[in-house]
Amino acid sequence: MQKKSLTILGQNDNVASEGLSRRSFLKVLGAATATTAVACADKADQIIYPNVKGDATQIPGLPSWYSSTCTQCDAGCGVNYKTYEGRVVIVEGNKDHPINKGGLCAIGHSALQDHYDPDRVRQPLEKDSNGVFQPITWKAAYSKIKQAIADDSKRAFLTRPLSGSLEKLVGEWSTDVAVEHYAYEPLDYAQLAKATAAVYGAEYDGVPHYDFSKAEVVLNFGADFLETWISPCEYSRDWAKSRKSKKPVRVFQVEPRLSLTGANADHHLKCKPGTELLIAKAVLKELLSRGKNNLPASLLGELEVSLAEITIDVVAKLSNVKSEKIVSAAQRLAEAKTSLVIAGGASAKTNNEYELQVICALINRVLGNVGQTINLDRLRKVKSDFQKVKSLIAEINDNKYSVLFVDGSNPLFTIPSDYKFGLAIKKLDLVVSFASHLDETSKEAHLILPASSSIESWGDHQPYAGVSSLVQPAMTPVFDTVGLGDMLLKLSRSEELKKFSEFQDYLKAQWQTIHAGAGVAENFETFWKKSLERGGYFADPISVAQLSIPTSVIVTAKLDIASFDSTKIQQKSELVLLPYASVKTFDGRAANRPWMQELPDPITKIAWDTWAEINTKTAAAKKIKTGDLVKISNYYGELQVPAYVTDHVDENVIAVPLGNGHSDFGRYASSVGGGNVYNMIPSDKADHLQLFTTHVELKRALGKHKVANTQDVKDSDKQGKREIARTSYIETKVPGAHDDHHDDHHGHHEPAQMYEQRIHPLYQWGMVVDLAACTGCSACVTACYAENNIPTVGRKIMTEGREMSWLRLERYDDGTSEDLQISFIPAMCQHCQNAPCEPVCPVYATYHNEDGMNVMVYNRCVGTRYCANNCVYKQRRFNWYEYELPEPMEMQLNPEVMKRTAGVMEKCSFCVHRIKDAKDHAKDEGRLVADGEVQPACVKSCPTEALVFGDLNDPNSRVSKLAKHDRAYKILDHHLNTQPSVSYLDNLKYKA
Amino acid sequence: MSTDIIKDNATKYSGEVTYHEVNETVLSMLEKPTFGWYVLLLSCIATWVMGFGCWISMMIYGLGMTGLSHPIMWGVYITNFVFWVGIAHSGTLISAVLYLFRAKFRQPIYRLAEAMTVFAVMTAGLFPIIHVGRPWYAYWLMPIPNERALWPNFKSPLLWDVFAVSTYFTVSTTFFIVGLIPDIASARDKAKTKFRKILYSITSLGWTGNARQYKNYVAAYLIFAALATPLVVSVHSVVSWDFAMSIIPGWHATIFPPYFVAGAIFSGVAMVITLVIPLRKIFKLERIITDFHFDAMCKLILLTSGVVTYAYVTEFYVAWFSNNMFERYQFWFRPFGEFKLAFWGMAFCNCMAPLTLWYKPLRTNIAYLFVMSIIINIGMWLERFNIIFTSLARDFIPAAWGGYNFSWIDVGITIGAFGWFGMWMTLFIKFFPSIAIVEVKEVIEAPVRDPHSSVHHH
Repeated sequence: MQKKSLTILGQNDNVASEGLSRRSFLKVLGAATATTAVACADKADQIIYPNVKGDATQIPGLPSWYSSTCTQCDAGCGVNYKTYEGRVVIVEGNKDHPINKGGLCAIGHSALQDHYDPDRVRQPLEKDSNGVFQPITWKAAYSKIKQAIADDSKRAFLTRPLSGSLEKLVGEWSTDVAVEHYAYEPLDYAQLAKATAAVYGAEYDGVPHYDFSKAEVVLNFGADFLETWISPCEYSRDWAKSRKSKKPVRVFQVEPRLSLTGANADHHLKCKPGTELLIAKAVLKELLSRGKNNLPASLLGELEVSLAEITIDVVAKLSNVKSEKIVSAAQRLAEAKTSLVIAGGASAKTNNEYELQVICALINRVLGNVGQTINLDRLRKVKSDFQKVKSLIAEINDNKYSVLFVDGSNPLFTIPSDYKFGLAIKKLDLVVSFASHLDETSKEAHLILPASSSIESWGDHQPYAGVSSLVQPAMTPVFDTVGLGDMLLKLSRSEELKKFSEFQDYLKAQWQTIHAGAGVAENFETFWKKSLERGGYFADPISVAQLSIPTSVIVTAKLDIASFDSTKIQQKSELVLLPYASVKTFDGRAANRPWMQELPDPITKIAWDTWAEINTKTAAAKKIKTGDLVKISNYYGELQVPAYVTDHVDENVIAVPLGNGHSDFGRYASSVGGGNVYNMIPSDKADHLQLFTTHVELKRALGKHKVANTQDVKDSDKQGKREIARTSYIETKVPGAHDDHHDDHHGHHEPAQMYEQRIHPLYQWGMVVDLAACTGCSACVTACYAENNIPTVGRKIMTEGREMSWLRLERYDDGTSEDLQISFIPAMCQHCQNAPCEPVCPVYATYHNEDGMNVMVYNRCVGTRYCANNCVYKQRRFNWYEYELPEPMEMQLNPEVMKRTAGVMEKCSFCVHRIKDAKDHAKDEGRLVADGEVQPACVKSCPTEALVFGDLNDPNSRVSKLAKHDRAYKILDHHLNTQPSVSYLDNLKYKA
Repeated sequence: MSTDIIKDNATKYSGEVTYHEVNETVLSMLEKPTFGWYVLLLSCIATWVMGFGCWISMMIYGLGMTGLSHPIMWGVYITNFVFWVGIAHSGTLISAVLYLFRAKFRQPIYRLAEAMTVFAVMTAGLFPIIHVGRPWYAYWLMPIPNERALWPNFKSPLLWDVFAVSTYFTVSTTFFIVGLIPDIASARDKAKTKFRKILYSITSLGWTGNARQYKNYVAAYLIFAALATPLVVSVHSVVSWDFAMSIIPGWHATIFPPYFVAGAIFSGVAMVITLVIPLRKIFKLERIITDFHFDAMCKLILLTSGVVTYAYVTEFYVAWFSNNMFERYQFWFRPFGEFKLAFWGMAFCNCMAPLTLWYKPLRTNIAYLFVMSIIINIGMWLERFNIIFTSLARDFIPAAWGGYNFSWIDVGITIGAFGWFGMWMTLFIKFFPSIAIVEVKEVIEAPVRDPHSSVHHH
């Protein structure tokens, strides 16, 4: 055999001595051409070294996992990062973390796209005299800042609410370099914290910990606790735990617009805007009259006076909620052993939110919920202080400040323009931004020092006592960025801070304290390593001693409906703008992530847009139809968005999701227009940002806007008698226990078969989806996009119905707004045992494998699309185009799943690569795959564990037990005998 | 048989033409092309080149260029495929089946119908390739032994299609060529240019017209006719199985094979009329193709229109009688849903409009027939549209329902196919006898010196 060796041009002396053979000539010619070409490139030659001795922790092709904490919101869920060759490809919930216990919401999953965002600031930038950002070195950037903090000018530092060591460092650094620190986020819980302190005692100034799993009845005034409110993964999980149990929690939801949480409630009380407080007072009065009066006498006396005017009938009339519904809620609360009353969400953010929170806290006190469903030891501190931020803006406008540091929280987008922050920021001598994006705020900065993402930096998070969660870098920074903590240490003056060369050291020093407090036997290094592996240190909190229970709480005696600003509203408009946080874009931070833009909103099924939910009657009066462009305006601003006409908002409410309408921020965010909803909000004297506070005028604008709505075909939101997403009523069908007991006489029956059935000798993979636990949050959809390299196609292609999602969250709305019957159902390939797609493929590109799965060979696919026609569940997706990812988003691609080319069919594979991995592992160890060892991405992501996956061949697996549950059914199986591997369990609702 | 009867029949079947006139008339069609012929040919070529350009751009940018989407995965291309296979159908029916049944009205039109069959199959065959996502791998549907040890799935109706259509194409082409031999020989004998002489000498395969050749020819023709006859039933039955074998409401129906065959004959005869009328006019064939032939074709149209209408009604009845909610929804959706125009258009074109042909004067009114034949062609295209689009648009899962996005690429390729077909037809009529000289002569009175002689030539 001919020996092959690579020779480098010039080193091969033989070339000359042997004379130039034809072969050598061609080699030289080729090399010479290559060299010439290289010489033309602007990059200098680089020396590269082969990795002779590999990094023992990095085995190519095998993933490494890192535990960390999700920093997308303040909930503090634990996450695991899956990395391949030093790049993070998957984010999953950390099952050992006490907050989320394994699930993760859609926005949490999309953190990866923030991290690999092509629009991130890639190096420090400085604005030149023409207002154009020019790259500078880190050294130059630091020295410029050091110069700015050398004098005694007045400086401020505006950040999002911080936690843990970074909060401490920011505090110390602020003192060190004489900077005033301000924390702000638009959707804060300050009123809830204030009310908690007022009702339970000053030491409880924070958000209590709620346990939805222990409540029998929940009365909820608008809090979207299954979507974005405080800690949605945690609450969803607790809620679902109860919903799956023998005695599911009964939820009354009072709100003017149907939220996703409301759609999951048993009783939706659609009220007039701003009347929640009246209803809460009526409920409190009703409870007091029913003898629930464990309050101090003085307080009872006060309440008697202030609630004197409240009668159920008056409240019912003002709020447009039937009096029997209010009475029923009060009665259920009175009868329940444990209950919970909460208020929150956008619709509570009126001028009387504080009082609403006070009444709710009083009801909880009356019902004795503290210690049961409310835990005051696990208090979340509210750090956002809008009052202070308002004074900061005022002082900047009075030229009292000259330097502003601002982090990546983009306050210029979220502080309504009427607060004049936009004017203020222009008056400053120096604005330094630590933002990762050129967003509305950093565009105004003079200097941008891009901070690393939380996937690239150290940190920790203490959402509440007992949970110390670590943030660790899972990869080297994608761009030339530095962690915020490291930057602050570099910029510090005091020896105290200077002794830490990097933020990791500072963090470790803080954790020495946690180690000491933990009282564990192991030394610090072991404790630290264990904490890093686990994701943090978790312990039961130490009870905070209650000093005194307040005996007096100020409750006004008015029949007070929230007031709404109507400055210069021409005709007297009763319409009120309700800006709300959606699971897609939250407060705006997730707007530049294509996964989140492409995710259909669970309620409206709209993607890539802002929209206005308008009541059917209101729309009819103005001749507005779904899809028409409407102009929503008030004195402060104007929105031009497509209408979504629905019965599920009050006639006077126009609901618009927050978070889109960015002018800057990135290519995806700025592709969604319509206007920034925050800028519609008038400034006022309140100490918190009121969102639900302004009247607006509504007009039909010219033209139509093609909205990407995945379920906009006429009647496609009605399932009729098709029994796709089934609901049983708890009163008529007592649910069996979820896990252990099942009754073989109920549940799904396989139809009698004519032909011999396939045998799966080892495994038969299957899934069960418990609709009683599915909230419709769509985390599974995003997790699937991430895991399976599913391309996002953008608005235009989505309007053509060509979205690629392998997992479709179907929403059916079979009832009326009075008698809600909304169902959500996550639908993926059902992996039928009699799969209609298999026999019709002429080239065996799709076939049945030995594990009972319907698998797809992309390379074999010719693209006849017959399989997709014949799939009764319509789960197959065709690659109409080839989709490219902008650099560096391709770094997120999961190497375990191939990218599909145009002209090829694809579909859910049950994450077959994970199954193969688990099977290989088990085989190496000479055993079978254990139950729960393999979980597809959707199952892993589900915050409520509504999805269960496993081996149907194993009679003891969770999935086989659940598949025999008395609520189990298989979609269309009794019509078509497709024999799906996915079973669904009926949703459960209370009827009356 | 008395001479009078033969003469009567000959007059009825082919006007009062003589052998000589037939020869002259038919072969004169092959004379030097006129300017109009060139215009027609070039416009046909331009049309299909435009269609081909659409296809190329679709291959470059992806199938998203079409109006197809989830869940309407099959659309215009499959509609066109079925439409053209349907057109192809009547050629074999007219030439083979009617030959076996000795239906004398077929003689002057069957050649054109056969040519139409071959070219329509050539057009139809393009569409599955245009339709697939990766046309460069379309050959994987063929059972070609290969190093990948992969074999097509014989359970798939699409594979049956491959065989049905390719068999049909092979047999109908062979049949067509065999029938042409004696006429090409006539053309050869009269050919004026060297090119044509060579062309006809080769393609006439040495035909001299002697008795042995003629005997063999007639035997071969009969064998091919017998071979082709089952294909008349099979090819469109198999095409219908693409739908009937699936699980989709509106597709999954046992009535499909006869329904499709009847529809195919219906559309095929209409297409023959569409082609014959201008040809007859341009080449002054009125004495060869007479009212009698049109009348006979109209009767075939009336019969097949009736069958097709019956099938439509049956579909609705079965949907109602089955009490299957999915079927019922589908058949509610067709007349009242998003694509209702296609449904009512189809009902008008295929069921109502042809009823006028019960009135005899209309059956021989050439202008009316031309319009009617086009109406039927449109109707039959809409029928396939109805079956394919409408069924896919609304099946089992409402959340997955969708519509069709209009696309110029679809239109371009559809029109391009007519250009492709037209080009072959245009070339054919100029290069080969479009009317079967031999067979027309069979039904007219033989030119004998003594008209009272009892010897007849057949």
